[in-house]
Amino acid sequence: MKDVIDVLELQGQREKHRKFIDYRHHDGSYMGVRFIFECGMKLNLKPTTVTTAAYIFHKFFEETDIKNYDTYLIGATCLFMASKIQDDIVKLRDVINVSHNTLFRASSPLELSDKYWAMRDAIVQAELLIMRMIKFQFSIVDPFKYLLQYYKTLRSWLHPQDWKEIPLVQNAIAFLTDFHHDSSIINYKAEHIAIASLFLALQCHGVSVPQTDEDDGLSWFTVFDSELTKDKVWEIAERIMDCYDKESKDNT
Amino acid sequence: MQSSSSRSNIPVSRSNEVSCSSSNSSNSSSATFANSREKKKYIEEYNFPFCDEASKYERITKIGQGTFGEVFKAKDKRNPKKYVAMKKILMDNEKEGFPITALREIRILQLLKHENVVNLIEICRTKANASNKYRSTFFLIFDFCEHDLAGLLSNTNVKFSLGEIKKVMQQLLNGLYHIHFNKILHRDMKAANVLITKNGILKLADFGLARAFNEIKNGIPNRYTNRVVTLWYRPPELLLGDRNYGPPVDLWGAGCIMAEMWTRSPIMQGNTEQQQLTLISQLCGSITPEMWPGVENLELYNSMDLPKGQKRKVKERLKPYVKDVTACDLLDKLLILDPSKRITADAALDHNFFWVDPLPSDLSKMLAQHSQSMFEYLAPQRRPGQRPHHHQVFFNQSITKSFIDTGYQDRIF
Repeated sequence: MKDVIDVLELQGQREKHRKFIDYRHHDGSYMGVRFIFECGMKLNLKPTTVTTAAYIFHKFFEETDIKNYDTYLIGATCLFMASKIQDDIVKLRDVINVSHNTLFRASSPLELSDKYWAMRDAIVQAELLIMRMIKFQFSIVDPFKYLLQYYKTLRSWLHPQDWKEIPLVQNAIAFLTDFHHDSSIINYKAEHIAIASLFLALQCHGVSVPQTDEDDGLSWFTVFDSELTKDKVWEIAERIMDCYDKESKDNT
Repeated sequence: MQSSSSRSNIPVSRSNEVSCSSSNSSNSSSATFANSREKKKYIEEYNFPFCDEASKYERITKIGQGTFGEVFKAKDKRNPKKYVAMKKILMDNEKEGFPITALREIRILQLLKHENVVNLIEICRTKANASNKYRSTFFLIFDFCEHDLAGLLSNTNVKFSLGEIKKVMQQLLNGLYHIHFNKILHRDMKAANVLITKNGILKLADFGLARAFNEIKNGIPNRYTNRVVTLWYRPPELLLGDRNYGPPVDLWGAGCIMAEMWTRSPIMQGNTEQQQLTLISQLCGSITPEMWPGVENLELYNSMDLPKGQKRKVKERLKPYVKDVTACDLLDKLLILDPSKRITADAALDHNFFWVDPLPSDLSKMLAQHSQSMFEYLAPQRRPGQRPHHHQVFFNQSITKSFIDTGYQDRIF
């Protein structure tokens, strides 16, 4: 049997190479959101559902001390709530299975045991608690909507080769999505976050918007929001970049 | 902790609850709470800073009942002049946590702030204690409206002038325009869900069946449930199993309500989906692919018995009640079989009906003559089995008595 490729072993090696996060050894809001993103993807939820879950997560911990709650219970519950809010329905049973398997990597799905019912009960109760803590504010402003609208307008301003050859909007969307790892996201207006994400994408690729002179204080985004200052945009952009520092710290 | 119950509302902190990540969860809860009395006390005394207790309102009387739960009139204890309506959120049979219908209703009402949409003030809870098995009840708190349209229409002492009918319809269409503009479908238009304040301001209410809708994207049709809208106000496309419907479903209901302003009772009181389709065909003409291209593709088109050779008689049948010519014309455009040809809220507001004499006129003076609240729920003549003789039935020639007598409150989902 020597010539037979040991698929299981190969798979095992690959898993080792991928280095899955063991959430049980981590804490804090960054890991909580990482968990939401991982489970959300496994549940095949829409990206906006996942970011809505992250937003609720930060809203909840704005009012409470993260040390008093189980980060991943709250994370799983936020996903379940966000799926209802975004009409992207997922069954509670699936949320439980996916979050359990994400926490205990090698385990098989929970049987209908006391432990399963306890977890189910915990999520149902956590849902009622979170709803009360976020004041039942279910209409959450979607920053992606603004990003796409601004980009559509901005595009006609740019040199065609800039938006044809450079993945500006893709990067801006990625920045905006990743920014949801940081709890400061709830302190900014959706419009401003959208502009900062686009701004950062333009900066990264060194693309300048024609006819706007930074020294004259003429910025492209004043058209979208006359109140928004350059300092504010930089502040948000730096917050976005901070997210990536957190990631590299966690991987070492 | 009781693992079988899913509705006790214990605040979940790491110290007293099962957590996702601790592996020996069942032990940890008993360890931190010395006894269950201590835990119960913790639950009873837990204070939610952002969700007030329902006891801040004093319940006065029940004003509504439906599959959604109960509605009460109540008074704000700190401001005795302020009246509210409290709508209980039913959670008894929920397997998936907080009911999505209630969540949708809250989200939609937060989005739709408009003069002609009922105003949601807040959400309240009851204290959890032994008497409710540690499960809080939640209430939606609304601004109180004195009347609903079904209640007003069932009272023969309430008389609407043509100008007042125009005002009702104009406000109703304004509300519909606003909700459709925000990409929301109401999906339960009926006279009982149209509230009117004593000042004559109309408010669309009960968004328990409402949902957001999309224009069709990438040619993939929507698949919404067609088990919506009270049968008597249900449009033909839903009765034929359409799952890719849109705002026209609400405008059919608006047409039924408009006719009811004159007939004083729902114009098509079917008992089953089949009977409802028969009544619609008798009024609006036979449902055929010539009148309504594409109808043959609807799921139930072949399984329903659709009367053939019926002529459209909307204007003819309504004329004895509706003397005004422009009113008849607008009704004719609202009660169009083909949803793609049915008039939109926007176009209906531009219809001559609202712009020729008599112009829409204020309702408050007429309502001032009636000091008592009129709700369908409280109106005895609208309740099953108690119909008095003055209660005209629009279709009395074509349907049997027994099927008129079935309950008005028949809500089929």
